[in-house]
Amino acid sequence: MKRKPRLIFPTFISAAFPDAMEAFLADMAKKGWFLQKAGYFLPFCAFEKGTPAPVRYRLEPIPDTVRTPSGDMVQFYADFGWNYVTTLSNFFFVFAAESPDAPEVHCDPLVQAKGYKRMCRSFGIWSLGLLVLLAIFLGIPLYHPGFLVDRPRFSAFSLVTLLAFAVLILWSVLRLWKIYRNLSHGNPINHHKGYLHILSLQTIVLALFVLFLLPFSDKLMEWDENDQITQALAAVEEPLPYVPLAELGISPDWVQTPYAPIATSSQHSDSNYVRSRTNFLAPATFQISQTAYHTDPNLPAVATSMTSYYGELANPFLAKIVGMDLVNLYQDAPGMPRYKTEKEPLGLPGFSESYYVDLLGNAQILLLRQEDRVLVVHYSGDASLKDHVEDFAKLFTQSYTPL
Amino acid sequence: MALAKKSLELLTETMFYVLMAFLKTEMCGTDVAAFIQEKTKGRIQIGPGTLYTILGKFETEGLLEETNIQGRKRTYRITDRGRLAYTEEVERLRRCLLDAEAEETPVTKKEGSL
Repeated sequence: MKRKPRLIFPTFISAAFPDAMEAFLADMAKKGWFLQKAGYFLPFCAFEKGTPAPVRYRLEPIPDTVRTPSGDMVQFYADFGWNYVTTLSNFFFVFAAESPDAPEVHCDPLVQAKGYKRMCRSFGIWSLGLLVLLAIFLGIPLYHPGFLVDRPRFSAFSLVTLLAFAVLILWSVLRLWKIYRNLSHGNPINHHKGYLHILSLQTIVLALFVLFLLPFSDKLMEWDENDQITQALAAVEEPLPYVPLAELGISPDWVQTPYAPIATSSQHSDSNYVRSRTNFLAPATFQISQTAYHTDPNLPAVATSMTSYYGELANPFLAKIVGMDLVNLYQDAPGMPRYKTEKEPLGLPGFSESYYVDLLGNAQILLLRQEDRVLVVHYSGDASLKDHVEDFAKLFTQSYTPL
Repeated sequence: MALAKKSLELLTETMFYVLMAFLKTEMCGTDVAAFIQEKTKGRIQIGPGTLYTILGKFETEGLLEETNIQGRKRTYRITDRGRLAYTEEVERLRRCLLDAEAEETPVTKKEGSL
């Protein structure tokens, strides 16, 4: 027996647009595609090919938390010429009438509103949960703007995708409430609603979501990664925005092992490097890691270390929040509760911001910002960063070219 | 939102006719629909969605009760409470009509007659 052709169609926003969905299903039937099944958890509709016919479809809000209508309900509707087709997500039962003589499913909008009220509430709760999740993701750049600067393409794409979702969800909730309000005021649902704009938006959001899940995200991350170059500090001859560790004091018993990216398994290969990045949000950033190690194996490996971040960012606001983010990051070091540390303003002339933080004597942080240029230094050693503030301030007298 | 709640506390026109259908005899859903269509001379064609919701609501509120189940076909009859609700609604509508008639001035009556 020859199997009839089938068509699977994504319909993940139909729950909020029952009127448009009804018009869409009727148009599909006129073209010979009849709804067979809709996804309960997955948003899709399966159609089967048949002889084109005028069929009316009506979406009835699910009365309770059931997945299929009761036998009584199916029989009741069938007695009036309306046959149960499928359940659409967990919000609607779909009924269809082939006979033009079958009476309209609802003739009293006030009674119909009763079903929608319950549905609006459950859809609202479901949407609120989704919006909270989206808000958490959308808020990531606010509490970690450093990530935005490091991964601008991926961040922008993620934000656009999540925002599109958030707009769609909000639109859906408002739309359902509008239908409910109209019914409550005695205005019946328009069963001939246009649906092309909704399907277009659905396709765009679906495409964004698929791209988000597919390796496209990895590709964006890869492009973001390509903005960055890492080299051994000793190998760079151009001026770099840092103060050498030796200027803060270094012992002859200490050694600064050169950065060796290939020998990843060897000891001390992950320090004494400069990492430079350039992109549209941050035209030039340098992260410079310096570490001196004890030569005596009986002593702790790290003798002293300094990590400095220098950035020329797209605007002063970005420089300010990225600087703040880095200071918070350094303050959050294990065993260093932030509430015990205080920022000590330095009031350096010519700087928009300058302050010093002593992390309980274990480490120190220095932040200097001049408009859109920011320097954040994290130092662990015997010297005091406050004694070398002028050396760090001098770094702002010239600009630097990314590697 | 308050409007919808209020609307369902009162009887809508369709609800009124559904109660009316049960005054003389027990009925199933399709009988009710036929009764209303005949009584209103086709002005109200009640559909399964509206009727199913109303029957469920009336049964929950004790205005109707189930009397017989044949296969999946259910028959209902009106309760004393339902009869009282119907009578009260008829009285309310009668008073509305009397108020409306009393409010009509000779001028409007004259205009109406023209």
